[in-house]
Amino acid sequence: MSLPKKFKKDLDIKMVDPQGGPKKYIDDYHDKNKTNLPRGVDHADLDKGFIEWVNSELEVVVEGEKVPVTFLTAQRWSEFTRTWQSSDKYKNIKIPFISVVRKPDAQPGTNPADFKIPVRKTFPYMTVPVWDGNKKGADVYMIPQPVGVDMTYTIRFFTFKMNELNKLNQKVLTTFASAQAYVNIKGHYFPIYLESIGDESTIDDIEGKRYYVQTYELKMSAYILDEDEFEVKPAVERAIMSYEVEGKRPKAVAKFIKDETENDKTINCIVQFLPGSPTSLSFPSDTVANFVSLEIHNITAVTIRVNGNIVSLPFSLNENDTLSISIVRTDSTQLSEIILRGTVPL
Amino acid sequence: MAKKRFPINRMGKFYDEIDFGLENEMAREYLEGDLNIVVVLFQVDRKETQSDDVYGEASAHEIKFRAPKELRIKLVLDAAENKAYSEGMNRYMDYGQLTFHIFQEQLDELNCDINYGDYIGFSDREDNIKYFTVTNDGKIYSDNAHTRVGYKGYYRTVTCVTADANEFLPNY
Repeated sequence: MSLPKKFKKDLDIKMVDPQGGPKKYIDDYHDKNKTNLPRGVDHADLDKGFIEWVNSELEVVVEGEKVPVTFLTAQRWSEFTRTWQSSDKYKNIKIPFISVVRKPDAQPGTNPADFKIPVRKTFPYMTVPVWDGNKKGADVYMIPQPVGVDMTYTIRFFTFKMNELNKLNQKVLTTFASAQAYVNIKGHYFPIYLESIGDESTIDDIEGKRYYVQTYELKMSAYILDEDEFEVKPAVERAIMSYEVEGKRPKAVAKFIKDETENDKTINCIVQFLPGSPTSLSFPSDTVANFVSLEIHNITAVTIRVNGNIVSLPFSLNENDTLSISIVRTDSTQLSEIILRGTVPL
Repeated sequence: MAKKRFPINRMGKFYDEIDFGLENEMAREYLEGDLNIVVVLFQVDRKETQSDDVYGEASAHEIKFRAPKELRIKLVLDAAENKAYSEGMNRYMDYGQLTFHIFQEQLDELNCDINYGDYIGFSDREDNIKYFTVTNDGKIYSDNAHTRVGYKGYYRTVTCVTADANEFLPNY
């Protein structure tokens, strides 16, 4: 007896997104990497990348809310625009918060991998095959040596509680347990070093507002790369070398026809030039003959040479003489024929 | 068992407890009746407040306080200061230090006390109340200035600084 079938109540139906999957990923990748050149980075990109790194890697959550991170510059209104979302009703930024200030004096790079090449020139970065529909070639992408720069940032964490202070401190120490951390800015990886940890807390003021301020000085060994200095040069001369192979050409044909039945022993030399064959023909004579007349078909002009000398009718031909005939066709698609008529001496 | 009490006989020839009480009564009428400057005392309930085991820190929602009490005081509020949290960055402007004087008798009558770390609310406008935390509860008030002709201390001077919403948010 078969068992009763149960209703299956937990069908695992997976929706398939026709737009998703690897193809979309590839499209996105190509969309972000429209050229084969590296993406340029400047000071603003470095600052933006560093802030994003702080936001993601040094994230501190207090009572379910992420502690805001603000990048501050000298402009007062700019400071307000960056802090108003986390400010109180008096428009003061609420503690806890993290502020990031970059030292304005960006220093020349000290990264050991940053070699100082004296002359500013471009170097081959990549050779990219190209095809314009007719010709195949390659482009050489040239970039200059990136310019090393050291950016020093001071991160300050303002909080009222030691508990919250510990969270960021633990994150920083963990992140830099391997001496350095890396940030990816527009496809370039830059090392970040922890220079020092300091304290600017105001907890010794019994009659004033008391809060903790812990400072972290970080140095990013980066470089800047100007896209305007990139060059794209063709790699090879695109010359066309073509070969034309001809088929077997028909040859001109010459034939001597002797009439042995008659007393005077007439002889006809028939030369046929097939369509496509050369318009000149040289051949040795195996007989002695006197040619007196000429009959031509589909020929405009004819030149006859005996042993290289131009002759005209009538002319004599000895045995082993070389007879050369050159013609000008009237219609090159048709058979051209010349008939030399003469006699063989008795 | 009753507390041991020590009689005050100094200046007994021309000043005694009756004079002291009369002057206090008149002064309180002026302070609490005429001036009628009111602040709200949020006395932290140290038993009910939940705090961190290691650091003893508490979040705003973890701080429990006793029923708020309205105190009538003589108040001095310093000018607001324009400051920066560090190196000229993160500017903020906050209330100045709040100092007030209050009769000890009033606290006794309300059956409350002001302790270091308690919170004070002061409504400076109809639509705003600013909270302060006590930095000096003035519990020792026997100096000449706080006594009447050296007879006995009768009022306390309490100083406060602003309390952050992260620290204290009573929705009062």
